[in-house]
Amino acid sequence: MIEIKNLSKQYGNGAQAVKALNGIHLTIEEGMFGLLGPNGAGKTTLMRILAGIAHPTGGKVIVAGYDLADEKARTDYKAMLGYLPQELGMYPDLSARQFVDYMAILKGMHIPAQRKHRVDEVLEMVGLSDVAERKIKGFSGGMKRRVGIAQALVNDPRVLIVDEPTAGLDPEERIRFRNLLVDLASNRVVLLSTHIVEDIGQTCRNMAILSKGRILYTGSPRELTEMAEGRVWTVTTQSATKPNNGLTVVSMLHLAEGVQYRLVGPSAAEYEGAVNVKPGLEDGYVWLMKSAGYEAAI
Amino acid sequence: MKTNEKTYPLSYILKTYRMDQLILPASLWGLFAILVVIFQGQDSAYQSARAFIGIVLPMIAGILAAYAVLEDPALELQFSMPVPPWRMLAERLSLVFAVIAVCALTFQVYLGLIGLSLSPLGSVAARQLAWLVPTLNLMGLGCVVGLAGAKPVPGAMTVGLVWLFQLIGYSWFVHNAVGRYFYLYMGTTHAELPQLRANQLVLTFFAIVYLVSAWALMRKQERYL
Repeated sequence: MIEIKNLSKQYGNGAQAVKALNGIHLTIEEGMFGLLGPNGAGKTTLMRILAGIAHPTGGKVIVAGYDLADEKARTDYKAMLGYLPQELGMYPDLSARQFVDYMAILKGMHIPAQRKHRVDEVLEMVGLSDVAERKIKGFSGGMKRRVGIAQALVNDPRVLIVDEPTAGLDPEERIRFRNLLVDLASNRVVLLSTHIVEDIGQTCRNMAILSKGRILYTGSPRELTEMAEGRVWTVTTQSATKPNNGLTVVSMLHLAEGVQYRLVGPSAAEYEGAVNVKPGLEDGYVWLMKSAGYEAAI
Repeated sequence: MKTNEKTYPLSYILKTYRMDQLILPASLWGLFAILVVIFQGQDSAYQSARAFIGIVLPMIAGILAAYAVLEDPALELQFSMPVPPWRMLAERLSLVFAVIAVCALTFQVYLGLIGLSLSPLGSVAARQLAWLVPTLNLMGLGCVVGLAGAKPVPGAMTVGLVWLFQLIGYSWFVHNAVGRYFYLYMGTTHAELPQLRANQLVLTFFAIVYLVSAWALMRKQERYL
């Protein structure tokens, strides 16, 4: 469905040139695909290229048969695209219904009755039916995000690209939104870009990790988790010094008996009472970044 | 859910139109409407009327055109829509042009009602060209410089500087063999000159060059995010 070959993107020229993406190869099939990476990894650049907004410096991107290098193909492709940008700007004086309706018209939905039905449907899906007539300027950050999601879904897109969609959502909204994305992914490509590891682990069948413009990993979240097998430890100590020696502290917890550290690294055997524990996706991510020499980004 | 019957989202375009873009021309319309009444019976009334139509309105158009594309809170979403760049540019500039055209035409009707004639500028068509040509030229300039700088301010400032430079140096422009073809206000201040038609053709040609360049810049959407 989405085929990316040797994709590169450079901003600026000469000494000030910045390579945002470098030699990306990816194939993304129907279903939910997660793109994970630290801030500044190039995720948003990749999302914008896949949304037909940014142009690659090199390589090829073909989505659902549309070659995004061609302007006409890019415009046609956008009719079947749902896009939720990271920085979501809106028209504050429109109501939620008006905003979604406006976006639906721009997306080529020209039959009023069908459009109205679909707008009602997506507003219901994101739980905004009750406040659909209220102006967006009175909405909270989470509600605005939901309006953004509604507009992305309004044309029943075959490709849905969501960039950091859960930013600003409360835990309940996050769960609800994640479930919604999984539902939608049954018959389309849903591309979720995030730096929240948990969001990927809960929803995606396949994923990629992007760092400094390069793909570090492609595979399933389970395989990534398995990579950290035998490399995750807990150590409880009363010492004020954090464990080091090639170990990365993933989390710490203050207990009555001291501080409990969760560590990722080759071995914590030198620490008294170190216990090897079952890894999670976050541990797999940390181990991968660490073994690829990107620890500073963690 | 697609049909060939296109719905033009005019009501939403108007609802999302920034009101200050309407308030500025409307306020100046009101100001000059008062001035021509205050000066009625004097030459200043005619001077004020032609200055508003042929000099002030084109400047406002140029400044508004610089902001037309880039001042949009939902710009990234707009770029993700299946709307070709030329259509997006045309829609936004058309709205600015419509506001200016309404101001120019209603002001002429108003002048007619208070008995002030703009006939020294020529026929009805010549009077329309007197504001239309510099308006299109400055709109194109404001838009293309704004897009080239990826910010509206350079576009608006360039329009302001060109406008001011031409006003201050009008004598040079009118008397210079080359400069006279680039003088924006010939249809307003020197309608009697035989070079007027050629001047208007040159200015229109450059307006087209600016607009085509603006379209080329619009295709590089990522520059504006």
